Amino acid sequence: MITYCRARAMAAAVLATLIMPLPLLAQTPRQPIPLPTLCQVPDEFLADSSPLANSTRQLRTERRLKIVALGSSSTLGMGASGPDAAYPARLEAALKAHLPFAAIQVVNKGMSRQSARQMLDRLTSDVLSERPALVVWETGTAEAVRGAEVDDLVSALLTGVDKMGEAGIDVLLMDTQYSRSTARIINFQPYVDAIGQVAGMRDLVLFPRYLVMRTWVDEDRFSFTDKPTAEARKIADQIYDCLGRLLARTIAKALK
Amino acid sequence: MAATSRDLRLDFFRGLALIFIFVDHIPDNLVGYFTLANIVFSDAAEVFVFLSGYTAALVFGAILAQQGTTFAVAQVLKRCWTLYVAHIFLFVVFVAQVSYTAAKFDNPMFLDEMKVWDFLQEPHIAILQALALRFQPHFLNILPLYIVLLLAFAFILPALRRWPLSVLAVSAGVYLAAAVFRFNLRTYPEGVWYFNPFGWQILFLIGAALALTDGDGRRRLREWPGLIWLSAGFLAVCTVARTAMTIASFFDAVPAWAVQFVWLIGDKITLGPLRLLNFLALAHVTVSVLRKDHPLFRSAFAEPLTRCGQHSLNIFCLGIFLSFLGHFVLVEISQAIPMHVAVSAAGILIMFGTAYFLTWAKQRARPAGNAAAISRRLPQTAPQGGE
Repeated sequence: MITYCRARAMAAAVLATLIMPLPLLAQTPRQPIPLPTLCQVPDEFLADSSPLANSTRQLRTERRLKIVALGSSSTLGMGASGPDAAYPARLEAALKAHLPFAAIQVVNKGMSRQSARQMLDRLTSDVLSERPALVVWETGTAEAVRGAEVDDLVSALLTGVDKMGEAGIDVLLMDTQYSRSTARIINFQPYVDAIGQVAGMRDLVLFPRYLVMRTWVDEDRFSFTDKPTAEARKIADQIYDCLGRLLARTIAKALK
Repeated sequence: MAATSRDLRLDFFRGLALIFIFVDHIPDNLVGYFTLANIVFSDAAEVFVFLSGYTAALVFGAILAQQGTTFAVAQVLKRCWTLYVAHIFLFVVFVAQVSYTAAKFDNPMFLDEMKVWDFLQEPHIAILQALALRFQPHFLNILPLYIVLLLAFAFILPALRRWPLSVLAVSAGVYLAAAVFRFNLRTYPEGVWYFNPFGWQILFLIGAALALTDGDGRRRLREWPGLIWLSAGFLAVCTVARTAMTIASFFDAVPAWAVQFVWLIGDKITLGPLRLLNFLALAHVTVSVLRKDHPLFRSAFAEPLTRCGQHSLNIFCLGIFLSFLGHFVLVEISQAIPMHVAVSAAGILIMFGTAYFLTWAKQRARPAGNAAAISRRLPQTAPQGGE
């Protein structure tokens, strides 16, 4: 599976390089931000995608970037040592390194165990009122655990994405978490595929968290097996930190 | 013995469908790219439901003709009970797997989200819901469909024999209504049946009606001028389009409009018209090319598949069980491509072996020749029509 996904991402990357307009290539290269070995994934996972137009505009004209992290338990940072260890806080820190001259703010709007449909209900109050340039929408896990209808996830996502698009907000989709024990009893793949399809339909940036985490698990980089609580918390912190760093890299890549 | 007149195609294709179901039910299995689902717009589920309808009409239609309506209805209900027990068995296997995982669950990042899994919170309710066929964990959704279809069939069969076209017209009406108004049965804790019985019933009844019409009826349908070319043409278009989509998906290059279009008219829940027509074309072309007496069905290659088809319920349950096991091996031991092939091959060989064992056990039981064994043999001796 991994090999196949790599081949697929590689093909996409080659294709993207061929059709990429020249001026983008001519842009001044940014300082490469180092990534801890623990976090590394094949470059193709964070493939070049459509640019984040609204975010780029805000960054250029106002020298700032405001992001809302909309999601469920794993946006909230469940299992980590505290809110500062959750991925949105780590994203903010990592993005500051990528964009040292801009004011970066990431607002955490995670809510425990929510489905995309439930998040839609608080879109106006939690997202639109914050007036961000970019929303990172983490979703799919609640649906997969409940075995909810895939069509319902798709229609909720499309509705939300379109509403945010009308409000001049870029949307980045993040799919589900991965762990061996849950993969045994829950079929995540249809939900992961559906989120990928929505990203394709609306030409959105996709952060393939499922694939990323799966790569780490397959290479035994993180393991919770037989770990005492304190140590397990530390591992969760590391994972969230890596996710924040990779996400920052993805966003920086899409700011053109 | 009358077994020589048995249409081995039924067993062969049912066996093939069971193998596909096993392979497709291991999530992410690369071998799954070579099953029907990635080549045409329909998959093994359609084959299974259609052949189930066909066989049900064949078997219970013959019982009805010989022993009367009441006895036939009783026999259908008895079969429903067997399917129900099999479903509960698979549910228990699933519960064992879930409880084992839950007891050893140690991932703090998932702990909160797993609380949604109400089943772990209130097992007493989940088990009652499972008994009511409302709790359908993933991959345990084909048998509930089969059970309710067969249950309804007990009462539809007498009418279907007398007024086949009227019954099919009503069936088509229900199918269209389910597609337009999107009504479906609910599941626990939320959601709807993965296989909407109001949609899928049409395929079951088409199969049943075809079995009940005499061989002459089927021949006239087969020889209807131009129909075979229409089927073959449509099947060719579907095959090219679906295979192209599979290949394009490797490069993330499936155009959004194609995805949306297939979603619109080819959804699996209500059996979208694209899936239905694709399957009917496939079935028509297949039976026209591969006639009943085709040497393929008596060949050594076909025999293991035919054996699987002859013990379809047992082999189906085994296949679901093995797909759980196969996924476990892939997740816990290795994801390498050779492992996908090895796990799939091992599972298929176990299914073949079991089918041969069941055949042997049944043959050994036969010479006893008591009344029960004879009545059990009845399905095989049922008249097969003139095809």
